[in-house]
Amino acid sequence: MIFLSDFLRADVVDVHQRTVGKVRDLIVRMGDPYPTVIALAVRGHAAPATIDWSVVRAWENREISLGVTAADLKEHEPVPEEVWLGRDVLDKQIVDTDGRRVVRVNDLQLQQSNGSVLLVGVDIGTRGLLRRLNAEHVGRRLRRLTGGDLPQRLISWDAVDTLHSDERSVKLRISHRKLSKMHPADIAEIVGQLGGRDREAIFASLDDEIAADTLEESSEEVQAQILSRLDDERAADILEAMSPDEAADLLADLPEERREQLIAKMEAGEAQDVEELLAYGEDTAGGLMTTEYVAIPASLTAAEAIDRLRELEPDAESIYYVYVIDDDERLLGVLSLRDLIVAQPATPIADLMIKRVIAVPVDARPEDVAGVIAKYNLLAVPVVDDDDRIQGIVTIDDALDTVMPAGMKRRARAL
Amino acid sequence: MKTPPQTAALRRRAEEAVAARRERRAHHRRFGGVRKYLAIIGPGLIVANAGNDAGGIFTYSNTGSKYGLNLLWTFIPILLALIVTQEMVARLGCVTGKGLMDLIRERFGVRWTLFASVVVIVANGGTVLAEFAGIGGALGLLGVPLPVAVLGSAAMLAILVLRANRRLVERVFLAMGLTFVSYIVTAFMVHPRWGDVVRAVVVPTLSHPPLKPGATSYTTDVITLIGTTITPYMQLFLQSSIVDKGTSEKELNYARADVISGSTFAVAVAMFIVITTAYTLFPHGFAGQDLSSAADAAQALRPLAGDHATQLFAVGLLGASLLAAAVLPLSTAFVVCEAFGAERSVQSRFGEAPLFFVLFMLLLLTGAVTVALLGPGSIAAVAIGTQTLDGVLLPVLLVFILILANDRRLLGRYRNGPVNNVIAGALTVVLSALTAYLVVTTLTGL
Repeated sequence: MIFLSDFLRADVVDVHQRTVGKVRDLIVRMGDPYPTVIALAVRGHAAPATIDWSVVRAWENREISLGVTAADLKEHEPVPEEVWLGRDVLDKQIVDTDGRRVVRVNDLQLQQSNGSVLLVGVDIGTRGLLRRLNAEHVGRRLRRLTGGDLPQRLISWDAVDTLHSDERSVKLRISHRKLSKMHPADIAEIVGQLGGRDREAIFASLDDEIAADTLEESSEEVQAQILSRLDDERAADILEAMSPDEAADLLADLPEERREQLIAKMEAGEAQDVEELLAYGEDTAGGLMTTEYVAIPASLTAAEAIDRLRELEPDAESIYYVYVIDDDERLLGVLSLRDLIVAQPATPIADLMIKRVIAVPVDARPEDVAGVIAKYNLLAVPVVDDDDRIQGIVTIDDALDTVMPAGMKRRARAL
Repeated sequence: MKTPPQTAALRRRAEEAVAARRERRAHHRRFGGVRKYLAIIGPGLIVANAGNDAGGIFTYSNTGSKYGLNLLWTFIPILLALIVTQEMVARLGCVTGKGLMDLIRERFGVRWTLFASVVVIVANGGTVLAEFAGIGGALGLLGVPLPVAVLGSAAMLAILVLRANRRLVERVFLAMGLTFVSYIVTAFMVHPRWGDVVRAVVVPTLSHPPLKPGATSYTTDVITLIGTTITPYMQLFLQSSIVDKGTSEKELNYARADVISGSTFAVAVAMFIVITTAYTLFPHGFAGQDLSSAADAAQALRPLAGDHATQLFAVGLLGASLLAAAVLPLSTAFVVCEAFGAERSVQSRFGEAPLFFVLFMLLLLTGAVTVALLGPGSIAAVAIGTQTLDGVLLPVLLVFILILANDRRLLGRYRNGPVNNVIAGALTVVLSALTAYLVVTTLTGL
């Protein structure tokens, strides 16, 4: 295996075996899937600062032989997407999108392919560290004493997303393409491991929907920080894409002035939902619920009800149950999506629905809400006011969050 | 699908409900406001407060009791150097968005990172030792035997830090540590001659009372004073907390204001401790010799607390020491693991983050066990001696900071100006020269 550290500080000799300098860095052109080495940066008086890779004839044992004389060497012509591996990638933090974590680049793995040299992998293991300290052999020998070997911990370059909050290394900023394909819960996990600047850069690169999902999965601290730093328009867009209950929780933690600003920028409908939810105490069913639920009048038939669902296009988490209400929004009954689909189209839903609806009052404690959901095996439970009017629903995932210790959620990452 | 309530009764009820919601919301806001305020106390202030830990309290008490007001003038250059150093670190954090160890890794590579990590582990390990000396001293004043005090505290801290709500614990310790503001009150109660105090602050002097045999040298004491006020770990923490908050270069001036006010407050408290001990202990047989116990140091608070001086001192010392002993091993393990890209999280299992837990436990246990083995007689010496170590190691970190703060690629137009370089350079040179002088005089036995 070839590594960047094998090249760094290697001697560069010309065609007459005269030393012209030492390798300072390797320069690559970014490409898909692997970047290609296009030039050497050299430290030494007898050579230009950079040399095209095309004049390299051979390399072995920490010596790079050029195919021309020192006098014929010309400065390499910089290209726009070039990256200096030692300066811009080595020792930096990157995201391992397979392992879903933030790691540091200890070394870079190169591979020869059809005459060119490609950057194929990143060494994130102890062996890479020891190699940099010229102690790889010592480390392996010690490890063998206990009957093992130091494993190589390499990740492929195509499973890597580089982090670049720094404007001066624009070239590497490849839009977090791979990152945005991960599950939002995993993106949130990674965002939590980064400094403030990198967090903002990642959020800036995600589209509104993914940013909203990621924000929902992030810790309160990260949420507050991101929202206080994004510009108003963008923050409002992300808040609109979030479910109203999550958006309300998040806004409740912001300073009042910032909260009012953001609500003012949101679309009227979403803003109203959020404001209603903000009115409830955080530790009540009202604070836990979302206002995204499906409620239909009792006068519809099953077929009409399904048409109504198509019109509404409800979110996944709110379609478990269809609630039936009267003109005053009083809860009359409930039916599951399954009931609706298997019923004869002409059946009035008043005949299909379960009339004894399990519901919780707006001021119920979160533990009690979770208890009700567990006891009756529900996916969601409606929240009603004193007059039995439906105010929202608490879905099982939100109820679970309140009763599960924080450490356990983190643990889930290891699974 | 939402139909407005139609009857008047319904409407009235709806209005009542809205009013009740408003009430609840207002309550939430008031409470939330207090919480937010607690959350945004500047990193500068917290870091500066962390400086008044066990090592700091013993060192400042010793400075006043041993030298009277003679060393008071050093606080002005120390304050200047502290502000300049912290400003560089704050600027690095704001502009790059990265921690100090991260920048060392990215700019200097693996070898230098290993070197810097060893320096940081030794310096912070020494400081943890000082904290356990503080814990042992404080609990000793309250009648707890030393081994029980330090080993029990170490076990409690390990459990608290790894398992409990750390935020809350930190606030309790911080509040306990704040009792040291009582030095300011005491300083006024002993009616110092303020003319003498002002003169001692502004007029540098090398004169000092004759040192008793066995007392540490003047050079050592100056290094110690600098080392306890401008500690290596302060620089790491300040930059980390700025990075965590995501403070940007646009807010650099706020960060600067925070650094200046925090540093000034910390140095002011230090000066008041020196003034108090200079008027309470110095004239009563402590001149020219080192403090030998926490009990002696506690006597400085007698004018304020009378016979309860011991208890007051013990509570403050315990809080300040526990706070630092809880924070230091954890954050040291964290920054080192981050620089090497190793797993780091209190939520991980041991097998997932071995380096993190090994470093954490190593720092905690080494501190506790060493203090238990050395015994009650050496508490003051340990608390002060480790600060000398900090002072000796500080220039190493300063050189890294200076190089980074001058890096054009890294900071662009935010890189150091001449004033920064002259002051921080002078601090580095003076400290290195003092250390060299100390080494030479110790070796040659002069």
